[in-house]
Amino acid sequence: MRKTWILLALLLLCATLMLPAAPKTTLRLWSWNNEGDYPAVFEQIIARFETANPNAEVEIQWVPYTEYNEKLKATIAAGDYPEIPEIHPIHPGSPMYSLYQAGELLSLNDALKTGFPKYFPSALADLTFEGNTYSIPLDVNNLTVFYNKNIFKKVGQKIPETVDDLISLGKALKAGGYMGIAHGAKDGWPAGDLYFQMLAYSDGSHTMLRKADFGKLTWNRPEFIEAALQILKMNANGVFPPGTAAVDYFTGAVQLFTQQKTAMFYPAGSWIVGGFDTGFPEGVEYGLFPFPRISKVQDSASTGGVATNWGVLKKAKNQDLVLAFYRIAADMKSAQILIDHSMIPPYAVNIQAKREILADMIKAQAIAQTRFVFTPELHSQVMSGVQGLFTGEVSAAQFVAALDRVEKTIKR
Amino acid sequence: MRTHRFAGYLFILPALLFFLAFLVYPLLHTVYLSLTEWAGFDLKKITFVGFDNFKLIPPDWIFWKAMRNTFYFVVGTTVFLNLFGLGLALFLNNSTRFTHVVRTLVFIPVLLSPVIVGVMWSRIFDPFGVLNQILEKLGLIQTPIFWLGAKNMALVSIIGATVWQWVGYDMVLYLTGLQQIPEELYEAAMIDGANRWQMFRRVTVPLLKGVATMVILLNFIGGVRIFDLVYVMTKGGPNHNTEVLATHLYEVAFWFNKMGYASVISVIILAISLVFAYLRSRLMSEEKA
Repeated sequence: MRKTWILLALLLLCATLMLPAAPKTTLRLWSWNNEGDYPAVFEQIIARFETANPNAEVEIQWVPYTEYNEKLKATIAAGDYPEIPEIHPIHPGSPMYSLYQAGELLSLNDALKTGFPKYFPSALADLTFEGNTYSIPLDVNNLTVFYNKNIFKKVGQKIPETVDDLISLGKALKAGGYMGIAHGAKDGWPAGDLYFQMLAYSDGSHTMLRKADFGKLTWNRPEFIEAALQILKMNANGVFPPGTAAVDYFTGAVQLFTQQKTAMFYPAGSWIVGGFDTGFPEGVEYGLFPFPRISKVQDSASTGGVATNWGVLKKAKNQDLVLAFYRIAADMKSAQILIDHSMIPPYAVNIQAKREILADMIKAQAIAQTRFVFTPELHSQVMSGVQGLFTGEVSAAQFVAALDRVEKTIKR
Repeated sequence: MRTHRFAGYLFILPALLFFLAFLVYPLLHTVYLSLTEWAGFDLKKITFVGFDNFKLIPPDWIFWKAMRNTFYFVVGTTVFLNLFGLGLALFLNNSTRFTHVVRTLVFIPVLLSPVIVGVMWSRIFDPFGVLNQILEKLGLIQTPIFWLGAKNMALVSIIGATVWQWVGYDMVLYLTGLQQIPEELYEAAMIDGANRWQMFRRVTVPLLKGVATMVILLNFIGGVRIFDLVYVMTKGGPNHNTEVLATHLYEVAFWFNKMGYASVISVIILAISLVFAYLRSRLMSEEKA
């Protein structure tokens, strides 16, 4: 009898071993952020999630930024939903507003009540539309000027406080054989960010951009014109290298800075730190400062906002697992991962950044103003218009007139 | 007899189905979409708006800039591709080891992806790139030329990169044409005392007319549809100075989510291409007749 039991137990064990393991649930993470340290951060968060959820796995699928909307639309139309999609903030005119209109996005208001940290109000505000939050931020950023400390020391210059200081600095740098600010205007978005930065100074109320974006304010206003005039002034006085409209961001501008042809780089943020660390020769030290103010009486301001955010598609499967992933991505251990990779969590943390530059970036977050224009036609025109300011074919008045002309073609 | 006819239809059926599914249907659907408003997500949310989207064309100044740039691009590339293509074909129209090597070298860019060509030329045309460095070292320029960053240079630079990539294709077509001209005609012309220029004008040019017509029209059709090289090199910038119809279409469709209006631009590109395609087939039938 005992032998029979042993035999039966052995048979049961064999049968169990021979049974195929329960298939793992695969969640597909879609992102366009394969630059800098993002891949490493994603992988570490995924590893933590997979340890906590042994029956689930996350597969990263990188989709180029320029094709992202198109591909996401195609997969949704085909009923094949990525479970963890990186999305744009939802507002009228945002490239993904039609996702909201089509009822494809899940409101995360209830989910955010449990297991998530207290996000910075400014971060959630960008992701909330008509009372519903449609995506969860992973990190935030602010755009500042990075400068080469060695070159500044060599030419005996200090950090400029105003645009006029910046122009004087440009002249001193030129005399020392260097150029001013490397800026990749060819890619469009850095050009747009330069304009939003100047607007953060010319519009002290920080409200006009959003109003004009939603068609509630004309662009032909002194604040919008002033921001364009400042770019023209800086360009005419050699703050930027010649031909900036033809320089792309991730190769051209980065190389100008890391090869120490320019002493400064804008717009810079946490995403580019890795590139500079590997690009600079040994011994080069760099730091940051907020873009110089138009006048000395103003407070410094940088622009910024949510860098990466993820949504939940209403018809996607395994939503509980997806939310579990988001909760892990937003806990203190993940915050440590972000900070270790020079990124800024969107909530208050008690973690000391190991590097001075990151500690400065976290500090600068406090003075960040929005850099979002949600109406794509207007955003596109701002980017093209600034390129026109750089090539000298557009005046400040023409710059705002073109935006008003575009506004008239938008159906609101 | 009837069975044979039935079998014939059966043989062409796969090709016909392919043609209907992947050419005729998308084409008709694009025309239909041009009469609708659609954000591109939900197929159930397509609203018929008649010709409203066509009314957006006149005030769309970027469209008109793109149309003008497309015209300059088509004319520029066609002229230079044909001049250099024919020139190279004439120069390499003999069978030596040297000409074989040069022909291969000239043809290699045709095999490259336009994206690779775009990235390569973007680096070459960078204000601090290799081209300006060479010109500076040769003492030809004092300050860098903004190949892709100046209003009047950007489109010219893209035309240059396009010609570099496709000149080998035109050269091969002209070579085929040249090799079909009977040698006796040149011998007869020589006996009549014709010099090289006269032989070229009176023998080569008339007999290459058919090939030249085809090449020119192919260049026109290719030029109207240009997208990849422009998108990689400048994304239509700076300030829309290299915007062409296809890049504008892409922005309207996938950034502005206006599939209806984007389809109008598609229909316009299609109409222009069809005119050239019709001309090509007309001229080729006349040639045959």
